[in-house]
Amino acid sequence: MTVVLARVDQRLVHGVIVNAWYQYLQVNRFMVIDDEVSKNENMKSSMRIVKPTGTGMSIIDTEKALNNFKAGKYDNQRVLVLVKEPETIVKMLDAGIKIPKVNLGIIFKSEDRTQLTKFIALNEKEKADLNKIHEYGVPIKLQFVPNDPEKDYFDKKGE
Amino acid sequence: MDRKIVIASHHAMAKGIEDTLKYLTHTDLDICVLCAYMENKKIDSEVANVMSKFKKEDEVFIFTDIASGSVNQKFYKYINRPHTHIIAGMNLPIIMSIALNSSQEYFSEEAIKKLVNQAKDSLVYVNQSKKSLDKEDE
Repeated sequence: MTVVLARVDQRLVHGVIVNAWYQYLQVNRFMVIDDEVSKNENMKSSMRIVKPTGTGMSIIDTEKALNNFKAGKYDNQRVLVLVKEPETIVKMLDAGIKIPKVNLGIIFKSEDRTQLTKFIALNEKEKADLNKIHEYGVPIKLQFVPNDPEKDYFDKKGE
Repeated sequence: MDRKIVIASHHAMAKGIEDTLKYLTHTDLDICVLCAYMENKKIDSEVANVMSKFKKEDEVFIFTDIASGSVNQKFYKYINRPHTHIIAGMNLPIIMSIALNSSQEYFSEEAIKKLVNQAKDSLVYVNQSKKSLDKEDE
């Protein structure tokens, strides 16, 4: 399995990712897929300095990610994918990349978003994209850190 | 065996570290916080009170703000209590590495020493820590 987990987290690579999730998932590659961040050298280097020794880090745009996956570049690796928007995960699924599970980590509040949990707020576009992910049969879970109980997105939404 | 964590400081740093630790890790560990001298009082009885809560077989980690301070001195007398470890000059990484450890075994002194060294390495002068790309990066 290449992608171990795809997480929506607007902070992308941060302490909780390189400590708790890294240990829990035993990944050897962190992959940020984001068309803006991949062009921002400052942000890239701020994330690279926290990278655990012995792991790889990709900070690449969507097109490059899709091409690399299709070319089998990460076939023997365990990859944690980090994105800011569910839309990126939809594009991966559309391209035929296998994703065993989607995790909703952090989506910040904003005017167009309604709060779902303490850490997750969603706008209509994001909700629609999560529905598309669901249609691919990929489970969507809410879990900020591995210590938290894993909750299902649709159970929480229905509450 | 239960693992207990004490975070102690002059004034409110301990409370702040606890708050940040709980936000980042969602730990359900029992954490005792001691913010000394908030009311300009001696802390001997507070320290004794914290330590009296633990069972003999508990593994107790005491984190203090600074080795040279009186808060650390007040805890020093517990250094020979079984399974008790005092770590001064605390930072978030050392407390996280203990708090996130789920092992039911007592820590060895060697293991603690290693975690302390890792926490020291986590104090970073960011201006000079820029990394060049590894071959595994892109």
